[in-house]
Amino acid sequence: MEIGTAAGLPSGTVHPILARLETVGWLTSRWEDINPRTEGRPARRYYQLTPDGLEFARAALARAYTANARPAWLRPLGEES
Amino acid sequence: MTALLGSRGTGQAGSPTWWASWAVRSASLPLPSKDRWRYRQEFVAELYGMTPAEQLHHASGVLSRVWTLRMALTEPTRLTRKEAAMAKPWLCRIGRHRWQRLRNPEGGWYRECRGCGKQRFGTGGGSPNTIGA
Repeated sequence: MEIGTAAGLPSGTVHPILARLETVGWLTSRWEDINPRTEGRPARRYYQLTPDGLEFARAALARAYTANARPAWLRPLGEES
Repeated sequence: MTALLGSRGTGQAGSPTWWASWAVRSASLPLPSKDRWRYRQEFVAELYGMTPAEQLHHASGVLSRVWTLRMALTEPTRLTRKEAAMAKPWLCRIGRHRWQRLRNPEGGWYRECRGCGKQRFGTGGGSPNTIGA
């Protein structure tokens, strides 16, 4: 849920993406370590990037940032170059 | 039962409403049996702390994407038609490829798009190594 909110993706879209990333080994997941009776809710599923996934994610972000970079004359005044 | 009814219609965050819980549990039914329990638990756990309106939005989102999730679990390497289209640069999608000339191992020439990898081996009845117009 937090991943979807952070990524700006609607509910339900994130799970297929996470499932694929987990299959290719970029992510691992585990159940939250809580006692559901004392917490009053079931354990959540937590996802974590693997070292490989982290490397690929950084590279993908760098590519996306480069592709979206605007020329200096298009940037709002005061924005750092 | 008290927990289920606790937040019904109140507009406050808390335990999931019965209909949202039922909806996300139903959403796990088309999933492969090995993954069904896990996603059922995951979907229900996500409902906790949401308002009924958020639960409705979340449950409908999960229900609408359950077949995509099923495909991701059963055929993780296959892209949906929409995903394949999204992966293609927009210029290629409208037929404006950026061709580059390459040589194949047999020594012949062909053209390949830098954006999507589409290959062209000439036009008309010419040899496969001929570069098209």
